Amino acid sequence: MALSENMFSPSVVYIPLTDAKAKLASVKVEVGAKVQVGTLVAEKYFGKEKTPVFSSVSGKVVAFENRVDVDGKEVSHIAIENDGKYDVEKTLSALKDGESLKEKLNSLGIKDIDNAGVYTGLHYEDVKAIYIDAIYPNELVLRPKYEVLKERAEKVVSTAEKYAKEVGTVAYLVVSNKIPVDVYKLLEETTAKTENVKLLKQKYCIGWQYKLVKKKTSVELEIGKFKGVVLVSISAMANVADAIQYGLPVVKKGVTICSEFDGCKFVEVPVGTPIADLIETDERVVISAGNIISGKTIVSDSTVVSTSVYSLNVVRPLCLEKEDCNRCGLCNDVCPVGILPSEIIFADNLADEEKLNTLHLDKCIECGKCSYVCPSRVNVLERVRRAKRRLQ
Amino acid sequence: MELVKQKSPLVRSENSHLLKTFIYLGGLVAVLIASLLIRVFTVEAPEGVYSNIGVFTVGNILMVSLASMGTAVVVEYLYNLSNKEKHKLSSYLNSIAIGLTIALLLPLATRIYPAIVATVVAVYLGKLIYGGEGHSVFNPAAMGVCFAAISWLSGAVNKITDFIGAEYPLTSITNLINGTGSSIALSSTTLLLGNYSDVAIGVSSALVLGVILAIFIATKVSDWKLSVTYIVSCALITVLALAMNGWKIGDVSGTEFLIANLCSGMIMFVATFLFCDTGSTPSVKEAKFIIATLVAVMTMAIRFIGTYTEANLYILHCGELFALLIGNMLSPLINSIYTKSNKKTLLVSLGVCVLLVVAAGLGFGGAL
Repeated sequence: MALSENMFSPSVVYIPLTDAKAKLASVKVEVGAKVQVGTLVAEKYFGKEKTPVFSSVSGKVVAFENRVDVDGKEVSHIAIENDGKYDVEKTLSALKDGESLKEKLNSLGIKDIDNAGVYTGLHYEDVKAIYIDAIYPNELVLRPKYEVLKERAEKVVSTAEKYAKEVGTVAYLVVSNKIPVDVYKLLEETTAKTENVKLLKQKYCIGWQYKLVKKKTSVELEIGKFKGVVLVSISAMANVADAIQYGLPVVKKGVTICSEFDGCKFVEVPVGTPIADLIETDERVVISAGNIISGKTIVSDSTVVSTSVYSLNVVRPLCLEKEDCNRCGLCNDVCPVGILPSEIIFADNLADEEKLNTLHLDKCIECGKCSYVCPSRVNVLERVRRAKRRLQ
Repeated sequence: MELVKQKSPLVRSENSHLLKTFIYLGGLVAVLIASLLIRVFTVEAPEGVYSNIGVFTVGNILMVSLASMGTAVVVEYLYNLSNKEKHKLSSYLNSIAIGLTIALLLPLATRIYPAIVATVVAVYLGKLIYGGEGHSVFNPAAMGVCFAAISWLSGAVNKITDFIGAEYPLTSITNLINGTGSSIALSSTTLLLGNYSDVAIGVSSALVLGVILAIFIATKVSDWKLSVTYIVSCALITVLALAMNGWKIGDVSGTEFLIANLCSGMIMFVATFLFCDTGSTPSVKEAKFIIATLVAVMTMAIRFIGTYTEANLYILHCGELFALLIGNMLSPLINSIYTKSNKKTLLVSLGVCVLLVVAAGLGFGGAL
């Protein structure tokens, strides 16, 4: 497999050995060991469940060190010096005819890919429908370049078809209603060749995923719960495509970097690339991973691109004079799920757990629309998250 | 690169609280200017009704307005000083808005001291002791005006009726309902355009208030769920009451009565300005519909079945404010009923509103 032209090549990658779920790891290599792309470097454990961790570059293991991950926690990373050759493990092989996609992906550790927020990750049983999110997460503020979607169209659609066939349902590729005509036509032609991949146009609004799935399937998406509807990003599908075509685990991520200083660009990076290497600026900036409304703020410049990062936002800090909530109720009006954020804040202020238990906090999909519209600049989403933590 | 830790969202909507406060104040100033122009350039009304009032009242209006606004600023400043609190522009602007609202709700011949006391009550007891804007239980301006009305103001109102020698539109309506009157003093056009002097300084022009309300709704200063529901409920209750009486009251047709009922008194002013106070109104969508309907029912109750005497003329005209204060009192209760907002809860709430309106309309119609 050749190195793609668009691929960023850092001098050292730092691959996280644990994550939010799997907090224990057993390392399989030592300092000084030579590795290739796809070499097993560790296994991480969540109870008895074991997930392999692979090298994302070819080179030499130089250290084990602690760095801050995307969730703001200090975790152990394996540092691999990149030799720039991108030699791939010869033991890795494409998906064979008759081979189960589920077993292939599980063997490559592609189990919980894309299960942050309201995304569900891949599931294989009791799947009613599959939605592949191909809408740019920051379409609220920036129209992306769609060339990337054009390049990935064939790959993503054929992968979606394989996956949909395996689980026995239909996959919907959801694109923005503002997509250029030529890109839409290409996607239309590509999906028309398949039996169970359909193209769906969707108007962007904060929380659109919840509304779309509820309208089409009557299922109400919840964070961390699978209710029969699979919702994954196009980035995850691209990783699955690499697994099918080359037998590759998630060793690279396509990251869209939306910067206030130099616009929007798409770049493929090996997993473990320091975020600081991707962003060149001397300014005071806030960086978040995910979408610009509800993404996770990067708190350390030692943080790296992990398997869950597909979008980075770089903006100047907002200078907001925060005021108290004045109970206008605008957050209640816009919440796509129908919970009452202003009441949640009120009950949280009073530490009224009994009241909080009645306010359906578990339904919150953390889309951030409440914070976005608040005229008093209260971080409503953070207050709801705080209330959730109070009840845990 | 210097990394700043700031939580998402990293962009915010342009709709800000300070901007809304400026727009709100702009609306009040527009009403003040309209009130001054009406007094200076009032079209000659039909004989025996209203006449041009002139410089005296213009001067009085300005003095009362300035006194109210000035008092509001002083009270806010002294409170912040004594409690070592930060001086916030938006809070001061809100207090100034309360002061000006009070001035616009006071009678033409008000002396300065009721305006000052009303403002102290409104800003200090109605807003600051609860924690400032957005935390008040009662609408501060309504609270201050009602306090002044009960304490001082009927006398001041009567001086004006002697001065201009005519009755107010709301008085005509009340007389019609009681059977002691047979017509409305002013035409529908005059009531809509507002080229007359009503009991309170700023409540005359339904048209000006309507345009300001539309601007407030478009800029999200006012929530249409409260203001429009209030006006529509008042209208529907009146329509039902009229329908039960053959679409006529005395010598007045139903249409004329309906327009007069909506344009007179403080209905339009309350809908435009007083429902903008977010602290004293519900925050849940469904509760807003219910409270607005309840306030409309109580407003119409005071008009249709309230007792009227010359001594409580101004208090009669403040019926909408008393109704609003009762609505404010019920807001937390109605708000707390809701734990979620969806189509089902909305339909049930709207159903309750329709029932209230129908019951009120039929009840008041039967009492006519």
